[in-house]
Amino acid sequence: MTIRHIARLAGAATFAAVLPAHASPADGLPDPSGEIVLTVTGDLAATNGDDVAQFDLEMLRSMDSRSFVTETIWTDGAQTFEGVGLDTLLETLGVEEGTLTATAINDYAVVIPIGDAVADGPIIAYSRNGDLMSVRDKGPLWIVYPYDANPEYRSERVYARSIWQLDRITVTD
Amino acid sequence: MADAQSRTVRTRYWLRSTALGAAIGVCILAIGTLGHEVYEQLENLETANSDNVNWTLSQLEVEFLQFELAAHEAGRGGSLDDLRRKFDIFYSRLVTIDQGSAYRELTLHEDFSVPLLRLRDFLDRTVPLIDGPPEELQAALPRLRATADAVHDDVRKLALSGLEQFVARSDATRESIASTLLDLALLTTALVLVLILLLILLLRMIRISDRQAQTQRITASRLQTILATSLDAVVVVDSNGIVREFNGAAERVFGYTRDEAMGQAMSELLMPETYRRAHEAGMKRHRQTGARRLIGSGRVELEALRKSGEIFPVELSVDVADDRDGEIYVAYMRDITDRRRAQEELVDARDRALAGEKARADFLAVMSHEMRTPLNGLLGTLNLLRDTVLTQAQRAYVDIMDNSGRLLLHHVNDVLDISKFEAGKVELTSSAFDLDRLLREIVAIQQSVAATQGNMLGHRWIGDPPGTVVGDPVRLRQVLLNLVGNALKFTHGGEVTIEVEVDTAGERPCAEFRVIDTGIGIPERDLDRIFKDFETVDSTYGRQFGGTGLGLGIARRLTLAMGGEIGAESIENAGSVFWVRLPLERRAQNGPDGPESTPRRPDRVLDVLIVEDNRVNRVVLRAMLERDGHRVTEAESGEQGVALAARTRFDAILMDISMPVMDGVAATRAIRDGTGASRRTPILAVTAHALPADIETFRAAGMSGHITKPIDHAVLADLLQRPAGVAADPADVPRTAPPVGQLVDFAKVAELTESLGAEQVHSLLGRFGTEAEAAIAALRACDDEMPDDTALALLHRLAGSAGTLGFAGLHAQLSQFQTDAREGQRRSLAGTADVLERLWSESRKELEDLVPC
Repeated sequence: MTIRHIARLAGAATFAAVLPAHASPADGLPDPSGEIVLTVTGDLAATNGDDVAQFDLEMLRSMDSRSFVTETIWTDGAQTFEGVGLDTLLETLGVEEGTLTATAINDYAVVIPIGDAVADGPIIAYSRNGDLMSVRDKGPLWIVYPYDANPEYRSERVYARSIWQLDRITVTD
Repeated sequence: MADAQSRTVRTRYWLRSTALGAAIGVCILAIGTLGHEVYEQLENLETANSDNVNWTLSQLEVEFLQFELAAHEAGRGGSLDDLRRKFDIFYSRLVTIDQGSAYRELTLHEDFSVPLLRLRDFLDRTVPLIDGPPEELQAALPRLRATADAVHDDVRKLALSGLEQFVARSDATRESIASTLLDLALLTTALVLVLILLLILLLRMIRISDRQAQTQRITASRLQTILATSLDAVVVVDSNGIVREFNGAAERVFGYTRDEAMGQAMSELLMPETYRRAHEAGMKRHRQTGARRLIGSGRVELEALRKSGEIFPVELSVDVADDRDGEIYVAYMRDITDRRRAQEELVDARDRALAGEKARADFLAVMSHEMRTPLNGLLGTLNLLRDTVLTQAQRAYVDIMDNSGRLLLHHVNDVLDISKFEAGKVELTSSAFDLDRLLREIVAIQQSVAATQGNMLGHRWIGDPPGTVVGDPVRLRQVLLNLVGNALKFTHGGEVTIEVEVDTAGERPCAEFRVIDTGIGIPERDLDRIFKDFETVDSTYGRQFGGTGLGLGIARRLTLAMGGEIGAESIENAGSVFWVRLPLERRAQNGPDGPESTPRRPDRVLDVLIVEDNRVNRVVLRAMLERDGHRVTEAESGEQGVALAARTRFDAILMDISMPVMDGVAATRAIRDGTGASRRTPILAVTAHALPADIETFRAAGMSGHITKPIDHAVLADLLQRPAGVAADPADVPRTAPPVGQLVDFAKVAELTESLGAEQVHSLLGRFGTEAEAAIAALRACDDEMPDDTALALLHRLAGSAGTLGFAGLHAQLSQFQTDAREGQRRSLAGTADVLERLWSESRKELEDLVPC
């Protein structure tokens, strides 16, 4: 952690202390009510815990979603994915810089540059071909890139970033 | 040619550069493509380090072990949920391997697909247990562990087989990259080679261009030196007429410095205003059509303008050359002011000299002429005097006067001849003539002269006579007469021979005439001088023999004019040979030869009456007739003729037509109508004008024929030999008309001299001279334009005499004049008189040359 980062955290804490009753989307996320499927930690502007943002499936599904059709190297035939854009999620959390480290249930971890989070970029998919995804089906969350739409996404590097059975994301500088 | 060569060189360079450029382009393109490929492959290699497939395969075994471990844990009271989760993870992994497109290639392999199938089967069998109630799962744990243990090997096989194939694939990729890299290296090498080639070429071109540049520098410096040292002004002008070069000589000639002249319009700077417009037009024409008038036409003389405004003559030579920016014109100019001045002075000097020369010649000619006219009068009058009654002494005096006068006339004629040569008035004619006949005439004419000194004169041929030749018989005769006359003069009681030899050995045939005498000879030291003008060999000689010394000079000039040579050899007191060598042009003998000069002997002797008022004609006719052996009676007028015809019976009457008082026609009528002795005698008209209408009149009057003046001996003889009463058509009679334009009919003169002798001919000439002068005086006395009867009568008589004596030119002129007068045509009488006078004096001179006194 850098000194600037500490100062920023201290500032945010002060702000929260001064105005505890005034909840805003910037610093206040609704608390999850169901099973937590995604935990985001790191330098977040909006949290719903101690420096953490926890999401259940319902919270994710209530956010702006988008979907696209693409083939993947791990599946057979065209697939329709639906989910929250990585950019949407980061915007919601007020993350503008840093690096994302995404980790799966089996502790597979991969680094995703924050630059990947663009409007027509990857999504955190929760639905494939209209069904929610079980763990056997690489669910419940899978970071999917629109491989067919952009040839740059059809590379080993991006395939490695396409983490399934996503469990948590850490934002670091 | 140089142009074509340089074009070829340029084309070659261009082709080579293009080819190399294309090669480089191809190489770069290929390297670019390969480079891109290498980059992509490198990128792939980079990502292959974190290869997903590799990870997935190794993870499969890890996750299976974790599942097995979870199953054991669960047996020892561990969490079933953990077991379920591990199972799900393993399940998810295997499904990915089974269905993912990335693994499709691996599944084609039996080592991979068989274990995979068995694992699928294991999963399918295990799912109901995992998803079933916890108690059942708990109970089935040992079985689960056993089945898991059973497929453990398959998991391992699957992973190993996948990895093996993955390694093989990596090898293939590496090989492909290696091959690409090799291609790249080869291509790069090729490119480098091409670049090296290009570099070599470039270096060579640089060297060549260096050498060219140096040559050009040398040439340019040489050219600059040439320009600087040129004595002529050199001005170079571009196609817009702007001065681009102006050398030192130009500075001196035009007065401008180089800096002043450069960049200026040439026409305004150096050209007089009057030339500018023409110059502009010329330049424009050249630019538009390429037409050249001045350009490249060598030296031209023009005028140019100095800085001082002075206009001066230049000699100019312009040509055009190609320059970078189009055409340039290079002009060499030379100031020819001095030369012009010198030329003008020379021309002036020459003109003055010529004018002086001409004035002298004119003076001589005029003087000779002016002297000749009174001399002729004197000689004519002497002749008249001789015809009067004189004492013996008086006759001797007259002879002396006559001889002296003739000698003087001869000298004057020589001077006139020389001055004619000087004035360039001598013209040669060319006609065909019989050379042998000409020689015979000369001998005949000079026979009497030879006799007076007791000389024998003759001619002989060495070899055969050439027959008819082409040349100027008048001039040849003059030369030979001169030589013969000379020879006769210096020979006493000896022999003069004209020897002629035709030499065909040389390049062109020539005739050599040798006049050989046995006279006093000429000292050898004088031989060179004798052909010079006014040279007599010595004073004694001159005194003894007289002469202007011009004769041989004239002969020399004439010989040279005819393209021949003349010379002399001599032995003192033994004799001389004068030779003339002339080119000979033979004429094929195709026409009828001239009439025999020797008249035929008549078949019979006739009594002939001549009725003729002109004494000259009478004398000549008589001489001709008597020579043929006829007996002649003369009548001086028509009346006298009629009277004589009445008294005597003649065999033939020759009747002149134009006679005063009673003309020939009237006289004929009188004879025919009378009862005289000769009333049936054939009467032949003698006339100068035989027009068809006239001839009809003659016949009507009773004439049986006519003969045309001047009388030709042969024609006359022929006519008289015809049976009486048979008219002779002149066309039937061979007739030798004198060549047109000839002043004197030499054949006639020779005939006359032969018939009458030189003495008689001279006497006739004197008489004719008197007649001529009388006629000319009468003509001058007339009012202009129409002659009076007296003048006409005199002219008529003169025409008759002229014809008879062989003055062909004069005769023709007089006949024409008479015809004109009769037809009423007017002409200037004074002019006619001048013409007649000139013709007479020239004719007389020629005749006197032929018949020397």
